[in-house]
Amino acid sequence: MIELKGITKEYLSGIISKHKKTVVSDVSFSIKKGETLGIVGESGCGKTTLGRIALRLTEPTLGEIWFDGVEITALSKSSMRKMRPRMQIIFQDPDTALDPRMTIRDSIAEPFKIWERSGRHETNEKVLEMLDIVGLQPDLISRYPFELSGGQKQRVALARALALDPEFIVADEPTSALDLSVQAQVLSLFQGIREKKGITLLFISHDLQVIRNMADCIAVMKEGVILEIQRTSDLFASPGHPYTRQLIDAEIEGEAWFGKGI
Amino acid sequence: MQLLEITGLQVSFIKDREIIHVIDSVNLTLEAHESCALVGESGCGKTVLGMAVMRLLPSNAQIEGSIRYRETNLLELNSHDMLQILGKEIGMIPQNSAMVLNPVMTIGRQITESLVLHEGISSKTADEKAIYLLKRMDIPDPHYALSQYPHEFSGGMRERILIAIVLACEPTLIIADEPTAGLDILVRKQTIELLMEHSRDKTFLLITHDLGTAHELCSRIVVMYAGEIVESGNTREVLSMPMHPYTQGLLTSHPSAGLHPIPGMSPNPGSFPEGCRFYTRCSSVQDLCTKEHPSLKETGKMRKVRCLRYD
Ligand SMILES: Nc1ncnc2c1ncn2[C@@H]1O[C@H](COP(=O)(O)OP(=O)(O)OP(=O)(O)O)[C@@H](O)[C@H]1O
Ligand code: SF4
Ligand SMILES: [Mg+2]
Repeated sequence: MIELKGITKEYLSGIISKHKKTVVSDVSFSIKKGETLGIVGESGCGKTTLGRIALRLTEPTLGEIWFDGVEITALSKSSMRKMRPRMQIIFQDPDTALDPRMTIRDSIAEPFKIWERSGRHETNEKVLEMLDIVGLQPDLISRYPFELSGGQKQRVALARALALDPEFIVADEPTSALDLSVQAQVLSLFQGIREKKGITLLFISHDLQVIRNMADCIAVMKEGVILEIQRTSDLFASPGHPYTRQLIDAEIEGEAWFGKGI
Repeated sequence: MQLLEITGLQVSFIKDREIIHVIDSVNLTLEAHESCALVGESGCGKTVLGMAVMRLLPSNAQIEGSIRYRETNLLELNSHDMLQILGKEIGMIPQNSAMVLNPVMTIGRQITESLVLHEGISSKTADEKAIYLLKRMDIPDPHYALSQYPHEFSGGMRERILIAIVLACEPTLIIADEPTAGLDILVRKQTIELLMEHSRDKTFLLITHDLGTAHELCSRIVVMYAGEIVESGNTREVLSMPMHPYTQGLLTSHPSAGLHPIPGMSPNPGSFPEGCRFYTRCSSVQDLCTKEHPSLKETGKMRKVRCLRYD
């Protein structure tokens, strides 16, 4: 469904010395239709940049991106624009995705309007349907983002991302701003929708346990490089890189308290 | 010896002429050298509780009850006397450290400023102490770090710098609000180890969503839901045998348990249901739960729970 080949991203920093900083270095992977690839790695390792590049929201310095048989890195602006509704991104902080001056209704209706997918009347019905899918009460429809909790806002952001029936979603730390029980709610909702709609997912997180619950395959990233990619169960059974081993050990150690007598 | 004794604490906010109760009749005692974790659903009032102790709540807050630190009721102090205690006696590591560090001031200034203010030492001695603290916090090249700005550090480093700032004045009581939120596992581990090492002879109130950190750092745990304490006890016991249905749900929500959420949403302050505040989401709810507000009852040594099932 989606394939990245030799993706590299460099930034120039410094005005005079033109120091080159490589944020993502020669990354290749592919995700099959309906599958989820998890990317795990420490903060600042380039996960977010990579996620944005996969949607061509950021241009890579080198490399190709293929989406459903088309090389999107070769597309013109206008052809790329036509692709847009088929791919979406969900951010860590729902506040960045929602306009504070827009009601929930308008936020969810906006994609329909931009893409002229429906008339006014249908839009209202669509919005209600989206709210239902993400498990929000219809009476929230005329509220503003500041009147919602973090979990509710992330559900609205999810509804917005799902509005145009995308085939591919990049989720960048979608629950790290939420508490445990709300995180569990949002993630299991996400799992359900993904299965029902056959969505292909790139799931980015620094939390290996969360990734383990969500992903079919896991890519471990460090300092812009992918150290290894394995099926989730294989990765935990036989990590191929010492850094992965270190992550898993820390995880096991940190979770040692868990499950005793529950 | 009791270092901090919170009795009958009630916090409300006045908003558009309405009074919204956010925290209700909270009693909490910290023995000297004890470390206690405070956990609970987002919005249940943990941060407000910590801020109440520090007297840092905005002016639309109404506080009732008493917060006794050693011999003094903090709620009766004037702002000058309170400032003497803040930082020096009680230090706070606030939620969202990135917002607390001043982006246009060097790290060195930010650490030494409070030292010079509280301890009246020269700026040269303060610099030396700052370097020593940064070194203890595993910040590479602490000398150079003094002249750097917050944005030049990663999230994990900024968190540790903040911890260094708080520890600089050697407070007796430390209140840390989510010190490990958003950190990846290796950095989190490092941060916990540093906190453990440096809080050994201190009294510690840790506000967190991270049950693993709570387990590692704290001997006692207090669980809050909708503005009140619903369970408390020895951390190990509570996490291995949770009694309150909310605590049980919190544990099954954990990724290690496969993310089984509690259905529904926690009520907002101002619209807490009558009876048990958890009844709309509880799988063990009985008729009585919708009418009678359960009280916090002692069920064993150090163990308390607020649920009618244990009456
Ligand atoms: N200044 C204020 N005015 C009105 N309401 C407030 C104010 N500050 C906090 N609240 C409300 O008090 C309640 C408790 O908030 P608090 O920040 O203590 O939650 P918390 O338990 O720390 O949550 P989290 O885990 O998300 O940090 C919330 O409903 C919040 O909206
Ligand atoms: S009092 Fe009733 S509703 Fe409340 S937690 Fe106990 S069983 Fe559940
Ligand atoms: Mg808080």
